[in-house]
Amino acid sequence: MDWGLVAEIAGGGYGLCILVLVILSVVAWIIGLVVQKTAKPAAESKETPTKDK
Amino acid sequence: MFGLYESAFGALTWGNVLMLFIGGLLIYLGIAKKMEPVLLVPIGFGILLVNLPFAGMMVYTPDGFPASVPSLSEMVKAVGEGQIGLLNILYTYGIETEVIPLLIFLGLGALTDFTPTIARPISFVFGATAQLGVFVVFIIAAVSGVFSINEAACVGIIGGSDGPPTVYITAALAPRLLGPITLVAYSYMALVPILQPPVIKLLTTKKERAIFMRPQVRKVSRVEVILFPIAIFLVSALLVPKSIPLIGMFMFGNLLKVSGVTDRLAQSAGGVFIDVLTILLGVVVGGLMPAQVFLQPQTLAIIGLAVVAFAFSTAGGIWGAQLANLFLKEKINPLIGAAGVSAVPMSARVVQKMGQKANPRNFLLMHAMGPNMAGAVATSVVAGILLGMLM
Repeated sequence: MDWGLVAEIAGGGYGLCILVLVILSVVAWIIGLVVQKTAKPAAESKETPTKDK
Repeated sequence: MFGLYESAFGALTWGNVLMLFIGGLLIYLGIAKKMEPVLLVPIGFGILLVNLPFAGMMVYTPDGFPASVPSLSEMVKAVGEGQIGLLNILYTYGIETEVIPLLIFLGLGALTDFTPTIARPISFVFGATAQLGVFVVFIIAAVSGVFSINEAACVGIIGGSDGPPTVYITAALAPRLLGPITLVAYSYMALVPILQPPVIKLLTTKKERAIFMRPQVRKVSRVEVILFPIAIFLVSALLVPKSIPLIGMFMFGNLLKVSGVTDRLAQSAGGVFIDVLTILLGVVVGGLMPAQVFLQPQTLAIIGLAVVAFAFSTAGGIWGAQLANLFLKEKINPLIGAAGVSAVPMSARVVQKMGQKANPRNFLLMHAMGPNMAGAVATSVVAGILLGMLM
C-alpha cells in the first residue's frame, strides 16, 4: 500500500474539490453582480420620462 | 428426462438461486415500496436475466468480466455461436464507451433548474464540503486491503450520491465492480430519508435547526440563467479537464432547457431519450451481477462503506454551513448544507421536513435545492479530479 499516494489523493483531491467549487461560486456571484448592475440602468432609463423640448 | 431437451433446473446453483432472490427483492422494492423504481426494476430484471443457466444474455470471462465483443462484421456470428449475448453488446457499446452515463447526464441537465444555486452561489461551497464522504471512504477502502486504489476511488464516489458520475468513473477505473457499486449507489439514494436524519440530529442543535430563513433569496434574470451553464462549464473544464465529458453534457442539457429557443430538444433530452437510456443502463448493470461476481466479500464491504460515505458527506455539508455561519451576517440554517449530498431531490426534502419540524415558519426546500444542484456539479468535479489523479 502506497500511503503517500492515498494521502495525496484524499487530501489533495478534497482540497482541490473545495478550491474549484469556491471558484465556481465566485464566478456565479460575479455573473449575478454584472447582470444586475447592467440591468438596473437599463430599467431606470426606461422608467425616466423624457422631457419635451 | 426429455431426451435431447435440456431444462435449466439441473444447472441451477445456490448462487443463482440467491441472486434470483436478490433480483426479485429489487423488483419488489421498486414496485411495492417505490424505491428508485426507474432503476431498481430494470436492474432487478437484469439480475434475473443473467442468473438463469443457459440464458446466454451476458457471457463472462473466467475472471467475471463481460466477454469482449468482436468487430461488427463478426458480431452476428459470435451471437449465433453463443460467444456473446445481447447484454455484452449493450455493455461494450453503451457502458465501456461511457456513452450511456454521459447521455443520461445530458438528459438530467435538461431537467435541472439551477435558479436556487445561482441565487445563492455559496451553495457551491456546501456542495464541495459534502464530498467529504467520498474521500473518507476512499481512505478506508484503500487501507482495508480489500480494494485496489482505483477500486477504492469508485467505492468512495458513492458518497457523492450522483448516479452518472459513479457509473462513469467506475466503468473507467474498476469495471468489475460496476454492478455492485451502481446498485448500492442507487439503492442508498432511495434510503437518504433514513440515512441522513440521525447524522443531522447528531451534528446540529435544535436552535440551529430552527434558524429562520426568508423564503425568497432574490429574483434571477433570464440572462443569468443562460450564462450560468456556459460559464460553469468553461471554468470547470479549464480547472479540471477530466470532468469535461460529465460537466459538458450536464451543462449542455441545461442550456437546452434555459435558452428558451430549444424547448423541443430539452423536452426530448429529458423525456423519452433519458427513459430509453435508463432502461439500457439498468438492465446492463443488472447483467453485471452474476452470482460469481456479486456474491463476494467485496460486495458486502461496498454495502457497509456506502453508509459511512453517506454519513460523512452529510456531515461535511453541515460542517461547511456551520463554518460559513461564523462569517455570515445573516445566519443560514445549517441543515441546507446536508442537501449538498446531491441525491436530488430527496436530501432537499429531508432538510425541508426537519427544518419545518424545528421551526414551523421555516420553508427550506428552495434554499436546500441550491446545495442539492451544486452537489451534482461537485460530484462531477470530484470524478474528474480522481480520474486525473489515477489515470
